[in-house]
Amino acid sequence: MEVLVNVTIDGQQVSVRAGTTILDAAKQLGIPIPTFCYYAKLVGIGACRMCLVEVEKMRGLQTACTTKVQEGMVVRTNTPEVVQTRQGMLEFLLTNHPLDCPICDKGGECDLQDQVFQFGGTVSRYVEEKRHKAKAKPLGPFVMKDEERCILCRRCIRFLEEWPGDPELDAFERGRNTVVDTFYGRPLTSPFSGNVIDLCPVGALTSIPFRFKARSWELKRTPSICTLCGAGCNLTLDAKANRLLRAVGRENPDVNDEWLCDRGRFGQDYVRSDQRLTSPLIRKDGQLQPATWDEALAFAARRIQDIAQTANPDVVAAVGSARASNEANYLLQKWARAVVGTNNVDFAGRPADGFAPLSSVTAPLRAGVVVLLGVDPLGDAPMVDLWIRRAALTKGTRVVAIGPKRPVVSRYGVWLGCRPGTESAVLAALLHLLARDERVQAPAKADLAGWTKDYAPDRVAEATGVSVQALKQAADFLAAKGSPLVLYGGGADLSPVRDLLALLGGEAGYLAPKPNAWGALLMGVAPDRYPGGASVEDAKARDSFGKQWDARLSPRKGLALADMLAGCREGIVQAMLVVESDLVREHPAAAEALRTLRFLVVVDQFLTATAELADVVLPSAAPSETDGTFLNLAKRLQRAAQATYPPKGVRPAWRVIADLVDAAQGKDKKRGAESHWDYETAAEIWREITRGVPVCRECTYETIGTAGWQPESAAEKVKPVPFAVEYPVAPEGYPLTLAAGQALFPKATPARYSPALAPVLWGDVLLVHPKDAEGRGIKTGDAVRVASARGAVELKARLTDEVVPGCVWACLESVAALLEAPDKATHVKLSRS
Amino acid sequence: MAEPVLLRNVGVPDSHKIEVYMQRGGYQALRKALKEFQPAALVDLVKRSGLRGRGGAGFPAGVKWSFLPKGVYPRYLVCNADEGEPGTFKDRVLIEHDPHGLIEGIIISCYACEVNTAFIYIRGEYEFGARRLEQAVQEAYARGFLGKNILGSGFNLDLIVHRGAGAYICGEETGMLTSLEGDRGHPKLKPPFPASEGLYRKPTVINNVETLFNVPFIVERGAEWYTSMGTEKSPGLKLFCISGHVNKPGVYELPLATPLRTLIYDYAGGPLEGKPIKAIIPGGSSTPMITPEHLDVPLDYESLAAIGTMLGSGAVVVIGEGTCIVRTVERLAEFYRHESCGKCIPCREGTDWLYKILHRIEHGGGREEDLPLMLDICNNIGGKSFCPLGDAALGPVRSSIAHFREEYLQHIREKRCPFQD
Ligand SMILES: Cc1cc2nc3c(=O)[nH]c(=O)nc-3n(C[C@H](O)[C@H](O)[C@H](O)COP(=O)(O)O)c2cc1C
Ligand code: SF4
Ligand code: SF4
Ligand code: SF4
Ligand code: FES
Repeated sequence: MEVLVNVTIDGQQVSVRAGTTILDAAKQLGIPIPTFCYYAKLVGIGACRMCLVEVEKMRGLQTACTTKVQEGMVVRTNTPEVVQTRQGMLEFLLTNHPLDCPICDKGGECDLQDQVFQFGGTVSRYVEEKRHKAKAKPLGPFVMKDEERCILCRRCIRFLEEWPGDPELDAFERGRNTVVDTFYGRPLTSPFSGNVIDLCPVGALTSIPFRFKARSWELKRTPSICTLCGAGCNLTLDAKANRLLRAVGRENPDVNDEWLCDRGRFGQDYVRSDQRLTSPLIRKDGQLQPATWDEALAFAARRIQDIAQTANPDVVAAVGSARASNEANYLLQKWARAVVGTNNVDFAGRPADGFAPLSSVTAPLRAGVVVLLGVDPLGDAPMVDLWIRRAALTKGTRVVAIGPKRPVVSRYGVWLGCRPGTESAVLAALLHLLARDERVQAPAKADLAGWTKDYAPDRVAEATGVSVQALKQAADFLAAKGSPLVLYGGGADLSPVRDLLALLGGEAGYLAPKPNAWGALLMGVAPDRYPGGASVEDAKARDSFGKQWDARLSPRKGLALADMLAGCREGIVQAMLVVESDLVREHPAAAEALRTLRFLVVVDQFLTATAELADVVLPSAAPSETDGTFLNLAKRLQRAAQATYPPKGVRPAWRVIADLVDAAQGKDKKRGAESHWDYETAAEIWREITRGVPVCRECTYETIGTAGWQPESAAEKVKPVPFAVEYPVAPEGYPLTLAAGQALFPKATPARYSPALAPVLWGDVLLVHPKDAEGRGIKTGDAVRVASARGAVELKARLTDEVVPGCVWACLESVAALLEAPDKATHVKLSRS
Repeated sequence: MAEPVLLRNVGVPDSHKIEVYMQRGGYQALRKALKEFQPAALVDLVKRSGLRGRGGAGFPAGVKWSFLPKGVYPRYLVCNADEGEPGTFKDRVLIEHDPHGLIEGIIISCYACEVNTAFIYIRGEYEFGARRLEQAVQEAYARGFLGKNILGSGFNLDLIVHRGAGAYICGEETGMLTSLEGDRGHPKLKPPFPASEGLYRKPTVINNVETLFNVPFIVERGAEWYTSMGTEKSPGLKLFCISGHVNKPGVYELPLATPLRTLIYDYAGGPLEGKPIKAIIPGGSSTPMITPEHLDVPLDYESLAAIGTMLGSGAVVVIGEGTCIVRTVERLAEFYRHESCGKCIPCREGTDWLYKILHRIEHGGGREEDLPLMLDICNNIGGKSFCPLGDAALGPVRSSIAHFREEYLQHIREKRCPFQD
């Protein structure tokens, strides 16, 4: 039960929960108390002494930020002594502060400036020489340190300790010589390092990419979201003179609290890359050459129409994107279905049937054990990684990581290193142990004991390379802590996952690496589903959408992406419209397939590897240059708002699709004529979407607002299911297995185009276990050739025990062409080149 | 002169060796404590003796022990041998000459507090003392006074000697704990107090070397013996370290409430070269200095408090005529700004500022407004710093301005130090 206590602050009474600090109680009364070291999301240290107040019956002044209220407490924040103390602290701070506000990035949003203005004295009594310390010392690629401005509040130190658990900063020296620094001057490497910039109350830590680009008051600030992974962190995009200059975290306790990962914080500047496409391109004489929009749209529309008419609509295919907004995806499938007349619509990374979203980005906080089934959240969704760390640090949550590559967060538990493709077998061995563990109480136990009898730890260890001891440790965590959160990736086999939930409860979810996988699916970018999920074979749904779109819709299911690509080579698919998807870097065999097309149109921000193959390239706006909605990996609906106008000559993808329709219908640009394709804004498209998609019915751009909207999801009861695991068998000549994943700073589109991320982007590196390198004479840095039955690529080797022996690991975008299927481990051979 | 108690082994050849210690009656109190006392009864005994902490603050030891939360284990005991307060060197004498006396005191105190792991945190500069202690600890283990089942009592104790790395703040109890835990030594927020949440977040007893050293004598001779000396509020014996302008500086053992004059004239041989005394710092560098008019003050907690200063660690520094007070205070201020850990604004910035002003005055750059400014800075540090180090820095500054204002003004007027030719 909640105990309330009554306190009086400056004569005003308030009842607050027991355990509240004086500072928070005062906040409730609207009484301002200045602070420096206090930060709501960090453990209080009471160090700066800025918040001292008088408390009756207590000797001396008390720090409001750490003193808990007690029944009947009488607090005064406005006595002469308190006022004098504040002035004193500020005077002390300023004695050695450089006061270089005119050239300080923090100017205008600096706590020190603001508090001196509000609570400080007016004259300086300090006539001594100021202390000098290092002025511009980089702490890694993103954070610049100015030691003279530092007020030693320790927020930066504490953040790295308390949230990501990367204690890379500390105070060095002492007294007046104290400085904040890294150990041995190493660069900061925490994936969340940029948050210290937001946290620093003064200009001691500033952003290297943003430095000197603008004064804070010149910035146009737009609440929006990050679209560089599936987490959808809330942020504010700051622009000056239509240039997007900075992203800062924005509070949303259900998503990112207020933090950003460094990819999201610094990677948004890809929109300013000088490689942006700013004009449509048409292939002429084998070369892509600039063209006008009218020309390009008319040409594209006519060619697609011709091809569809000479053969049939089903030779045309449309590829949407988990990177594009709901609005763009919706229009794309509407174009395919209503204008072309085909259900050939799909996108790369579509959640498979049975996949579930996470209950929330913060789900790790509610887990006893986080089970990583072949995924590494640090690459796929860094914010989920942060929540796992936070859960481990504050709640003792354990991590059980199953897969060929060791995730950083496995330091909070155990890594079950196994050969790629054997993750399910390892999970089966865990089920084997749990079904025989007396701590586990579930009706499913008996069934599972039977189903898993072939998966005794030693047998599985032999077949997968996992260690028996690690298996036992993992089973122990699971049995002791219960409520697992299983995070899985694209190729996961869900049956053993369901069994785990049947034994222990908890939840499982697909760690969607892209910002809008669930949205694209919900928008009907699938060969068999309309927006909202109704089947294309459902006559009622077909009728209803047919009416809404004023078209006769095809009753035949379309081709899924893999079949489309296979179909290209056989002439089953002849023309394709690809919107904001770099298929060549993500999908095996895409390059080959797209080359055989008669006609390819690509809409994207860059001349991606995919766009290079196109006949027509249409430049589209980035999410920060238009409005749009996205569904994150927890199916939270959020708005990415327009922070800048797109570069001249660039249109939002949704508009490009609408324009393509106009061009096909031979209309000129005069709007207003009776048409289903007259959209002035993305909001209009959204309104249309809500009419067809029941779950969105209540949502408008206004109700989604800046906080987003999370539909209620009912937890379904899981039934245990029997399963069988197949162990991959290496074909002759291909002794190693290649696993592909995503790095924190991937060379994938669009991160690869970010100037700020350029120095840290994951190179074309192949991780090789030293054991596998030995016999092949491979050393770190060597150029190596890795080849599968499908092809070969050259990469730079890095020897590491982060991967299991027998496995090589690379980023998907470097090796997509080698894979047998997306998310599928592939047998390869390796040699020095 | 009375028979020495605390210093009884000092000067005895090989007094640091266990054989000698035992020949002279050592480890008898331990036997008695283990045999005749339940832990709670020992806590009660020490409470009744009125033994106050000798590290500076004078908090009653038995009362502190009784703050340990019931039923929470493990508990730790840390013996504070950081002895950082300028002027203080009594713990050093005990450690170097009578290490077993300290160890015996620690064992009995641990038994009383139900502690099975204890530490001696010794200042880094005391390398010799640390080695002596380590040898003595080994000897005590070898004889079964430490380790498992001590003297068949079923009581276990491990004792670890940990050397500091040279920071005054590591003598402050929470600073010592962070240092002991392997972190940079800096004070921690109280509450929670170490007694409830200290080392490794477990209940922890922290006592000064001299405090613990008293315990075996109290066990042997009883609380009444202890309270028969000194005053009601300051019972027992105290070690005084006297230094500065006296003929026989050193450590002297006296009952509390012995007049300051007795210490200086009867024990320390009177002022050096017969020079008149100009000022006395009675309890370590942080205690406000007093003038010779107070020479008859009894050296106990309450009498010194009554004249606006403190008994502190019992370190008496005598300053003779001819010494520049500004220079003296400048040097002390330099110590405090050097030792400020830097965690809180008032101490970090204020001690630096005070030193800079004092340095300027001493070197001829003083201004009249500097005196009120310094007092103002003191007010902005005093009671506002995170830990008592900030307050400690103010004693010399405030008291010297109070007693020697004219000397400051002379520096300012003459734009030079009048004591330097
Ligand atoms: C800045 C500072 C330095 C201190 N240094 C010492 C020291 O060197 N030795 C010591 O015993 N106590 C020192 N203390 C006091 C300790 O914090 C603590 O009160 C003492 O060790 C408790 O033991 P006692 O009760 O036996 O005196 C210091 C306190 C402060 C604030
Ligand atoms: S760098 Fe900034 S956040 Fe870190 S201690 Fe200094 S002022 Fe505080
Ligand atoms: S975790 Fe994902 S959404 Fe959040 S800031 Fe990083 S890249 Fe952006
Ligand atoms: S008063 Fe403040 S700066 Fe000084 S030692 Fe204590 S915590 Fe550190
Ligand atoms: S804000 Fe309370 S001490 Fe710093």
